[in-house]
Amino acid sequence: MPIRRFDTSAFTVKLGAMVNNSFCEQTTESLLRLCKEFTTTAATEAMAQALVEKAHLPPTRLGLVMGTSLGDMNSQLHTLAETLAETLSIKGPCITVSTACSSSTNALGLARDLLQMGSADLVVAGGADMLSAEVFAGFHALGVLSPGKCAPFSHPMGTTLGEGAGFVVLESRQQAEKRDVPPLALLSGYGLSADAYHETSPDPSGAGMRRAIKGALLDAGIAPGDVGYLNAHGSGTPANDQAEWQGIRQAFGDHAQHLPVSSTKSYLGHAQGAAGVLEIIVTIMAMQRGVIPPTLHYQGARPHGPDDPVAQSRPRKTSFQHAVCLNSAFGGANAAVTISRPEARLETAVCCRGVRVLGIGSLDPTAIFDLNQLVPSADPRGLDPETRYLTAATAMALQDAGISLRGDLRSRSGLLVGSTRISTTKNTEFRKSIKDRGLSKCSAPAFSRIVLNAPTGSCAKFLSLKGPTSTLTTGPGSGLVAIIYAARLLSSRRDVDLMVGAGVDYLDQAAAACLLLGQEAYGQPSSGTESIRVAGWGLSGAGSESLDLAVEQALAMARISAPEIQLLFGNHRQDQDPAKVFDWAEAASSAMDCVAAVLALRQGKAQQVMITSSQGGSLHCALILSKQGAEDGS
Amino acid sequence: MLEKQESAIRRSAALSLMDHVVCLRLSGTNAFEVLDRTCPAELHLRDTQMMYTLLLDQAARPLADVFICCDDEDFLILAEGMEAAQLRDYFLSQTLPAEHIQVDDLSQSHGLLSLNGPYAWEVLAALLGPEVIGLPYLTFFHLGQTTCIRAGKTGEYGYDLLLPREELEKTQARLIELGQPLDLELAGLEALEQCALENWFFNIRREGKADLTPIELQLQWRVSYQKEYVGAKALAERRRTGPRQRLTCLTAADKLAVGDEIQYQGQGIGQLVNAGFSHTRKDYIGLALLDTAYACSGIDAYQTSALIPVRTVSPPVINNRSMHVSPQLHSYGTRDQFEFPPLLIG
Amino acid sequence: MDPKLSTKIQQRDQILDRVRQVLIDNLKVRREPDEIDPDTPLFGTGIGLDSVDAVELVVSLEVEFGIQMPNDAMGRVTMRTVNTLADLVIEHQEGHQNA
Repeated sequence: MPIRRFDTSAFTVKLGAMVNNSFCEQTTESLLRLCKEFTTTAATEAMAQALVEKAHLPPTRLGLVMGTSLGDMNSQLHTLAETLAETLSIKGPCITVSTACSSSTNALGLARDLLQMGSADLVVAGGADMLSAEVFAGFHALGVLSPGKCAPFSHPMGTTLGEGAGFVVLESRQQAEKRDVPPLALLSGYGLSADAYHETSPDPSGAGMRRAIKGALLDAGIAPGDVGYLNAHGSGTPANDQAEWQGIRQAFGDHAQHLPVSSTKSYLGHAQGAAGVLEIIVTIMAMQRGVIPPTLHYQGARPHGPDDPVAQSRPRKTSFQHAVCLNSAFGGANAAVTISRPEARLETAVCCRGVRVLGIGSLDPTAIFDLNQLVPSADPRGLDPETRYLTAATAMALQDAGISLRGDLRSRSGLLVGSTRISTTKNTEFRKSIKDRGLSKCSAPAFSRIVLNAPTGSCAKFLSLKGPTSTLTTGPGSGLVAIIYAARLLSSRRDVDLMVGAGVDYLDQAAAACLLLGQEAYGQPSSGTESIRVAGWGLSGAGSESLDLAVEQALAMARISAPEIQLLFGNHRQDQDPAKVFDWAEAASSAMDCVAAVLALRQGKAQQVMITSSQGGSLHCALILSKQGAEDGS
Repeated sequence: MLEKQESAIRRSAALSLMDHVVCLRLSGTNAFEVLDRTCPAELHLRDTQMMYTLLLDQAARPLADVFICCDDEDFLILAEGMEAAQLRDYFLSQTLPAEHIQVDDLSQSHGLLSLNGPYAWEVLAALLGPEVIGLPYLTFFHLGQTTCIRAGKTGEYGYDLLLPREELEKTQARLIELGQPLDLELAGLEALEQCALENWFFNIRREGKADLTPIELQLQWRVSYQKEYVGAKALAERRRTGPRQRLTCLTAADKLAVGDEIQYQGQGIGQLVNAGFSHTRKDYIGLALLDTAYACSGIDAYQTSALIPVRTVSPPVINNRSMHVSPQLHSYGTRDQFEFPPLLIG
Repeated sequence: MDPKLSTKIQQRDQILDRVRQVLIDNLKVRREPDEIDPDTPLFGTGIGLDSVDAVELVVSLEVEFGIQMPNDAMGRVTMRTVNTLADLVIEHQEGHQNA
């Protein structure tokens, strides 16, 4: 459809896939209002279909994970999800994933983890994004928009931007059976990976997307040959479609020749952060109906594309047991989920492996450091302060642990970052370019960096952290949540050995802090040094009464009682807390609390410590660290 | 002969045996430190990435034209201008007593084949598989015993294959066979050097022997003034005093030869340090070292001492077909279905 | 030196300086102007710009010199080195004078 929401006369491309009958003024307020309408409608519909009301679950046991990349419109990105949670009476943990175009795919995976961790009994997960004039102008400047309708793997090349919101309701099979609600499908696994290649272009070798697919299959316990359909990111750009097919080919081997691969973007356009969940919903509906969705607008293959792109105008009658949905994004953040028939029984023994703290890194605004010396591979051209601080803190943590990433370990090392707002310097640069030169001449380099995960992507690139990656926000406490999610991935996944959990902020000045966590089996500490264990964690809603729930979860997981905690960091800050408090550094300060806690343990000030998030975020969380073997003495 | 070779490089694909390139592997605990100390450029390199730089002598004159490839924690060095033994000694001489590095000469055990041309990727993909197609410029990957490097010095798609010596002949034969439908030619060093000249690639055997620093050579992008390395002092000093001459590209309808003087109104303003006939353009290309006051592109007021008029130009002087050929859209077999811009500029 | 020649050389030098400043200010190239040689490649090697920078370079030059950069194939030819950008600007200015 030709865009009517804003003036496209200065652009060579006029098409956009807007939600039908969605009229709004071209102001941020009115777009956000429309976005709220979309999310409320979609989530309410999902909850009604899942008969959530009848389940009579305590509101504190309902969670929300939302993927969105609306950071350029809202400097308090986490509040969009908070508002939605409030509307839906969800009072459990509420997390916003913002990894650009793979946001909502990742959100569903994290939601599954919240259920498995016992942080919620039911989670509403999905995402939303809007098509604004600025986003359109940015993609236009990058030259990735198609002159015609998005024709994945075919001609013309390029994508068509869209928008929308989609949500699914997730709960455990046991609970669904108990409630006698027939599940639509099984979210059997998910995988994340970082390209560690470029800010906007995918790794053309497809290795990043291969790792995400492999991770999802491993997580689900599905053999590549059992996958009957792949819903591709298939954005239509030459860079994505080429790299994606390479990744699929490598992940599936010979099976790729027979694997139907189609892209829903030929129907819906590219709904950015919402694309993943919308495509997953399409896949679930197709699975239920025993059909495979086609790729529309297919007018002849590009060289080196899928063998079976399902190039037809009607769905193909074929039933399948398992499907993979794949998305890739700016910053090189890839996410894949596996969708299986609800009755599927898979060997998915959730492993519960120990996690240790291997290194710490922390930089406050007064810190003086030489990025070139810390990370010689990092080309400093055009770097924002967030990226410099995050990269330096991560490099310090690796140094602290005495680990140099080499060979395959790079693919088994990941990066999770909590942050609160997109780069203010790059956003200012982007706005200024529009003001000075007009919308159609906006700055492409600045646009490519106004996603929340831009520093994460660059840091992963500079340090070759190619394993699972994500960027999330909960407002204050984001850094701690990232560290907990990092620990969760290490304890539950077999495709990762090391994870960095970090918090980074910038508001006139920058700060970053992180923990380097290792899976227990990875490298034993040299004898004599006591190692620090991640003993437990918990996540709960933001309500003032909910902190206790997070603490209880953490204590139960650590199998200790409250009095055994000798020092508290974060919310219950004590005098001996050496961490400096930066009110503006909402994400980094909670990661700094963790660093301070590790130092206290190393200095023998305590055997067991707990870090909690401060008030004001969209959830409460608690993390317990203990010296190895500390619980044996109790 | 040369015409066919140059034409293949510019229009289809050409295969070359690169015996003039030496290959070393730097490994050991301090490989990075030693390389960082010798290399004049900032080593912003990650695994599988490579960069183009120089090695200098104390007077900041180039000793070697090198590609540095970051291979996990090792470094592959592809160099022209120095013998393997010299290059090895160069690195060892820069190693501190407490440091440990190992330098292996791969030129003995390995050979280098090079494919250049707008459709070089198509020949190579037929040999190695579609991975080749997405390989970005200045990166490489290993496939069994073979290392496939995307670089080149012709302005076209360029790939180097580093292979064990015993595989060399067999692979060469196979590439010739696979290249037949693409009108692949064998190209020698002379054709490669002519194409390098047309595309303003540095030639260590010509302008590299003219006693110049990277400043006169317009190669400052390959060096940094923010670090210590062999020749750094001399280079900084030259930068402070300013260069007296600058390498400038020019074209002429009649014969240009190395050593020819370039004149303006009868006065000598410089000398040719590299020259050759372009079979693609049907004219002569020269690199002249001109007094800085005269070193400027777009001037047709100069001539050689033999009174041949020359015009200073902004290289590259070829509109490389590779800039317009995309593996996503094109193939040699379907080239006539597309309209490409002409190879000649202007 | 003939004044016409010397004016011509000066004009190019001034354009080169403005292109260098665009590279430093808008493309964040971390070099002093005198380190950016006229025949330095812009993409891949040389200054090492990438496809995202290409768009910014076009827009910045259009704003700086008030010119319209050619699209597609011809654009790539004019965007090879600092000097080829200067060629384009000079060509445009001369065309303007003759018009």
